[in-house]
Amino acid sequence: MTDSCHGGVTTPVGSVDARILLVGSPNAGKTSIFNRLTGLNAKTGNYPGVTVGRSTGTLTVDSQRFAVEDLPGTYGLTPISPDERVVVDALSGNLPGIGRPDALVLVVDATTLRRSLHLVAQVLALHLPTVLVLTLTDELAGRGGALDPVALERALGVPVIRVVAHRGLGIADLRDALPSWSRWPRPVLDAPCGGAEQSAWVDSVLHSAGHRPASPDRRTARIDAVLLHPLWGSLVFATVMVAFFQVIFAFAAPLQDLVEVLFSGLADLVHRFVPLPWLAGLLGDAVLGGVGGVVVFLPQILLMFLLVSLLEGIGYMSRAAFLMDRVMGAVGLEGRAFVALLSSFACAVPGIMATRTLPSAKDRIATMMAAPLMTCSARLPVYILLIGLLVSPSARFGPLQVQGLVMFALYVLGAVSAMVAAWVVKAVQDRDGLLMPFYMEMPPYRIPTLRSIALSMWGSAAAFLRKCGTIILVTTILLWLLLNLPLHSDAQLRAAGIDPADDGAVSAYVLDTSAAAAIGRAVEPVFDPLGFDWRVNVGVLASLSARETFVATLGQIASAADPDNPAEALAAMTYTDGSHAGEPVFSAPTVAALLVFFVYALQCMSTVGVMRRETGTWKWPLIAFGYMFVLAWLGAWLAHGAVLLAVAAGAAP
Amino acid sequence: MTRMHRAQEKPERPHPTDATTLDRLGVGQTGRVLAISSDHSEPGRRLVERLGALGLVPGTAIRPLRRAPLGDPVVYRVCDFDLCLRAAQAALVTVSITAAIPTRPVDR
Repeated sequence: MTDSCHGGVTTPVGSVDARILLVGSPNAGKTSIFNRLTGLNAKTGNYPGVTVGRSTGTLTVDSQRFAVEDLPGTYGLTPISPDERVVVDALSGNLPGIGRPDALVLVVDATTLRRSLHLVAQVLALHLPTVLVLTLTDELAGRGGALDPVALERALGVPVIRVVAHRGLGIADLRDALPSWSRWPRPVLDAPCGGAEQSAWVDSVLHSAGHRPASPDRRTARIDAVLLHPLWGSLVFATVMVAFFQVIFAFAAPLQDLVEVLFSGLADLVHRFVPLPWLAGLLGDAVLGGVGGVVVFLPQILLMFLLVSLLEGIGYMSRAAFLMDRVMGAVGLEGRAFVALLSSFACAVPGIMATRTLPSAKDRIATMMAAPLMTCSARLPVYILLIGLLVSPSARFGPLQVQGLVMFALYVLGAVSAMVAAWVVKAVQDRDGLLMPFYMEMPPYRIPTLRSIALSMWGSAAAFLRKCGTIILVTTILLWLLLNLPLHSDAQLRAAGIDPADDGAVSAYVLDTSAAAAIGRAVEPVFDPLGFDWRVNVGVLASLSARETFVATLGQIASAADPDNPAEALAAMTYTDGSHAGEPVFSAPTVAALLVFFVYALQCMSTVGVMRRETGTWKWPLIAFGYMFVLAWLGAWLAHGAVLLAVAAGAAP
Repeated sequence: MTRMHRAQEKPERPHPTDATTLDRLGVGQTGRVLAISSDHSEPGRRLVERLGALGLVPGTAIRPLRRAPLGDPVVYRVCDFDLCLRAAQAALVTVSITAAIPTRPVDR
């Protein structure tokens, strides 16, 4: 609390001279200042034990090293959400393993000074060395407002620095002020907190600082008249969302193909130049496949954060949330969750990362638990293959192709299930009765800087590679080992009656004798009620790394001539033993069960990894995996039974 | 049971005839915050606190700007910025309807 808190005594990071916290309202420009101060030295993580993102960085001025931390935005220090609890605990030094702050940088938007003085009074009451950074003074002047920073400094009793972050003005002043933090002037008297005394204090501060409020932004009012119009606004919203979805769904695809071509080319090189087949397989297929499996997400993540930071920087995100709030409110979420769920139609990985835009931790969790149920693009190849086995392309319902209808039904099933899941998770979390009220500031439209967009893209990509890369890589290698061990020499293959030159037969034999096959057989009792035989189980197991792997693995098992398009080979596949021997494996009830299974099951270790990274704990990914598996099994069992009955009823008369 | 947070310096007026709750204020009307009410629970108290932090304190002018296409939420102009509130929270705010429509919130 006082000057004696200097250095290593109270700060856990031994090598820094002082810990500085950035505190301020949402939209005050805290993050831009944080980015300007720390540049690329910033790291994102989580506060211990909570789903609240933490941004930290370092900065050196005059050979003094500062740890700078960007706290979540808050309007006041009476917490009403876990995120705000973190702000209060961080300010008072009550976070386990994280020491007290030495000094505060209080960021205040000059255009909303009257409102912000409430937070200013509460922060000054903490009696920590504080500097007030006044942002958006250019906008205040542009909209006819006025404010004298020197007079404000006198009225508040703390240093006031003007910063226009997007042009970098004032950043040097702030940087130069940091080393003398222990000598910053402090207010002589406490500002009154709450009640009429505070209102009077606010009036007197504003009066003595020569404050004239900015008039409403006319450009914003004109744009809002269109973008929030019941008809035009809804049309623009639909267009923006379709374009948004199109970009991450379609524009990312060629880039992802490029990544895949690059890595399969590298794998070919490995196979050509590494003489030992098992080593070539391990390096070329497992390691390179794993790295490729990580990198393949980058185009989507970069494109999504490009769009999200663009929409957020312009100010459209809060408008979209305003338009969608009623719809999302029906399941207990708020408008801003819409964008995250929409992104999940392309891939749950960027979708889950997009939940960072939600201010409430409960909403973030509920959205993350729901996002993997949205039909992602990795499910498409599986659906196409299975629907092809279930329904003939010539089957029609009126003028519509039945295949298309089934596909549509699967999308609807996924979306409806996601909304129900979000509602349930939110309801369970709201048991504590701490209902977060909905309020949202609608900032004026602004032009975001390239710098802020680039930093947001860089930060998210770097965090994904660092935190999720390992999980995805390890899972891919592990699955490759399961699917390929034990190794077979040519002599062993010949002894088993397999021609080592016949690649299809060899890969089928390797899979048949693999550890994965043993697991597939061991779990047969679990999946037998769904009509899955052990080979389907192996496919399901392999699809844990990525759902689309299911198609190629089944192709390998059926020793299809073309493993990427194994429909014919699969249709001819029959049970090899047991009570069903001779019956086709891919009967209508089994295919229906598989489709429903893929709607629900969390067959994606990348999603598990990114959930772990975003929530900071294994608890939520494990809950998601568990509840989705139960849903998948039950749904598949019901679908199996229903189709069995329908087929029997159809055959009876 | 509701608890009222009133501006202390104001003489206690019995509910003026033009008083209503914020969610009933129409677009184009301007109101002045009289009180914010909530139940006695801790979350209720914090909610009142938070609405105060957002500028909704007795005496402040507030003006609904726009209603969402589906009727809820509503954007208000208060304390020199645009604030979006759901009807559930706006219903906690009692306002008096003022006749004049100032171009910007009155700075007292």
